Order: sequence, then C-alpha cells, then structure tokens
Amino acid sequence: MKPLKESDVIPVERRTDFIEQVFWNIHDIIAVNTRLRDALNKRQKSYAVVEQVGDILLDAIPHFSPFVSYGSHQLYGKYEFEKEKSSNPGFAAFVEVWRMSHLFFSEFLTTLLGSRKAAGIEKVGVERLFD
Amino acid sequence: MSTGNQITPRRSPIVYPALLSRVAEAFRNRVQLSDQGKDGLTYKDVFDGREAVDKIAYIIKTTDRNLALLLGRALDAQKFFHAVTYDHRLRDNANDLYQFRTVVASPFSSGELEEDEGTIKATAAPLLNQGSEHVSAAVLTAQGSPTASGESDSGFGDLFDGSTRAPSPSHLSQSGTYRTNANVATDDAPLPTGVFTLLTDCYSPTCSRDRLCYSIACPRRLEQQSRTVPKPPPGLKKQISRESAGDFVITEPGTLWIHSVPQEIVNSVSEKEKKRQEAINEVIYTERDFVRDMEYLRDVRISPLFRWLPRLINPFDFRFG
Repeated sequence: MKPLKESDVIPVERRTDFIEQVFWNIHDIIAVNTRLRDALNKRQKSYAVVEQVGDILLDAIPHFSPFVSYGSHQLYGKYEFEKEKSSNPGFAAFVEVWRMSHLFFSEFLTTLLGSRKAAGIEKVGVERLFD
Repeated sequence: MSTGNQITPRRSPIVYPALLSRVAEAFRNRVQLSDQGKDGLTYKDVFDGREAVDKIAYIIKTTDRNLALLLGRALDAQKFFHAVTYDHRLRDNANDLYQFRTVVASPFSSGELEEDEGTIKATAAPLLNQGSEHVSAAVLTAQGSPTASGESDSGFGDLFDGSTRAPSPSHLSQSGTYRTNANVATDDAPLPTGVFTLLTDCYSPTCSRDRLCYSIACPRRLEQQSRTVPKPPPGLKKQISRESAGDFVITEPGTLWIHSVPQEIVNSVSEKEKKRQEAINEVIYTERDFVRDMEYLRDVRISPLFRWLPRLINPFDFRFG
C-alpha cells in the first residue's frame, strides 16, 4: 500500500479507484458467504443426519444484497479493466503473466492432487474477471 | 505469389485474405453498424457475430464459415473489435454483439463514470492518436505463427499496438522498430496487422486455391481440403471444461455424506433420506468451496495487485511494496 501513496504520477484516487471498480464489493460478498458457511458448518457438525438447512438459508438471504450490487456493476468493472489493459502496456503484460501463472498453478495442482479441490481453483471466477 | 495467374471459376477475394490489415479494412468498410439491445442495455454502433462471419466469408470468398470465423478471431485477438460484454471471442451467432475498438469507447453513460471519463479523454486521446502511427511497421512480423488460429493473441498484440500512458518514453519504444516518425491522427484505433498463414499464397506456381498442392506442408492445403473434400472435419473441438470435469469426481472420499458418518447411521436411514442428506451435504460443501475460492481470489490475486499496481502504472518506479 505504501508505494501506492508515495508515487504521484497517477493520482492516488485513480489507483485505488481502479481496484475498487474492478473488484467492487467482493469483500462484502466474502463476508456474507463466510457467515453462511460457518452457520452451515456448525449445523453439519451438530447433527449426523441434518434435519434441515432451509432455515439457515432463509436467515442468510436477506443479506444477499451485495450480490445484486456486484452483478449490476460487473460490466462496469470489466470495462475499467479492459480500458486499463488497452491503454497501459505494462498492465497488459502483467495480466498476461498473471493469467499464465494462474493456468500453470491450477494445471499443476489438478495434476498433482487430481482432486476437485484443485479443480475448484479453476472455478474461482478469476476467468470471469480477467478474460 | 501466383494470384490471378490461373483462370478459375471462383470469384477472387476482394483483398489478399492473408493480410489481416487488408481484411480488417475491407471488413470495417462493409460491416453495417447499428444500435442494438442485449440484456436490457442498448449498445451503439454494434454488429452481430453472424453478420461479421458473413462479411468475412464474403470478403475472402469462402463458403467455409469456420475458416471465416478463424480469420475473424485473428482480428479480434488484436482487439480490432470486442464483444460488448468483453467476455468471449467472436462467435458465429446473431445474438452476440460486437463493437470496434475506438479511441474513446464507452458503452456506458452513467453519472458515476463521467468524471473519470473526462480525465481519460484528456490524457489518453492524444496518446492514442500517436499510437496509431506504428501500424504498418509491424506487418509481417509477429503474427505469422503456424497455427494462426487466432490463439497467437492477447499480450503480444497489446504490447505493440497500443499506446503508452506515461508521457516519458516507455521501455517498448526504446527498441525503435515498432514506431515510425509519421504523425497521423485518426479517430480509428489502429488496424490489426499480421499474416493469416492458412490463407497465404504458396510459392509453388502450380498451387492454386482449387488445385491441391504437391506439398503436404503447404499452408493452403487445409483450406483447399475443406473446400474440395465434401464434408469438412469438425474444425473447432470443444474443450471439456475443467469445471465440469471436477464435478464428475464426486466419488472422492470425504465429500460424500455417506462417507462422513458412521455406518450404523447410514444403515438406519431410508434410501430417500440418504439422497436428501447428500443433497444437503452438497449445499454445504459447495458453500465451503465458494468461500475458499473467494479467499484465494482476495489473498492471491487482489492483494498483490495493491503491491504491483503502482509500479505497473509507473514502470520507472522500482520501489517494491
């Protein structure tokens, strides 16, 4: 974070703004889902035969508004990302390296572990954001 | 180069089809732009995928839509145009919309972006105009990879066809080869450049579009075969996506409810209840997977971006974060 503030070539607002525009409210989404996951985990640990999970979902759904916000902003984020990529060769090259490393590691993990856990990394949604 | 020497019944292509810049120009002159809606949004000056393939097929005078599609993808690989949603390559489908890359391309007119756009216009536009100068210099370099299927794309094109944001000379321009001194200002983004090897002419004078070449390595052979052999082989094979491949591995120990509880409990419930428990289990572990994936995105992808972005936006800032 420090160099972000020190460098004055591009205004600080634009840099932080870029990350915010691209990833939007992903932290809210993580928070919502972490709560949901913890509640589901707790339920599963408490009962060998789970009676129901619908009540947990019903509790969680009122807090799903971050998804709506994320979904409606997705195209804007994509636009910002493409704009930066086409106007900034350094960033474009970085994205390429990034994607190759992502492909490499997920390929590597899939081969090594052969499990759906590794395959799950492919599902992260990085493709959706960075292709 | 033996174009036009043979008299063939076929109409000859409008431009030399192997040169992407020529095809791109002919394409831009012929394609009809209109305002069309998709998913509730109206996009200005767009064309659809089917029309694009139609036009390319017409330009290169082929009946092979697959070939035209490949050529179109070679164009979009260099960001000549892009899907309005930025999420897929050219597809032969009337429902997919595309727009040309322009100097200031904004499909959005929302208030929250206005301020930002203003600054972009001010800083980027003159630089982009400069950027359009080094188009022709790069012809016949780079893109002529043997596959030429449009997969020779992305980063490479971006590096050489774009403009630089920094007012100081970037590391790219130091090579000097990709820039010329001409100062042409146009509103259009630079045309893509490169050679689509599948459609290049052969050095052999007896090789024509309709007569199979003696050489099995002739780059034309594929296209010749696709026309002379009645049924072309399926050109683009769909790759099995890893996402669904992962879903097949459902028998992995540990992910099934039946493996996570003692045998006597399994025995004590009905078949229907077992299925229900597996369904509930799936809800729970996919939620776990999702959170883990998002944490991965946050920790491995987003956080490094905060460290790297200052140096990317200012390449001469070598301070590490």
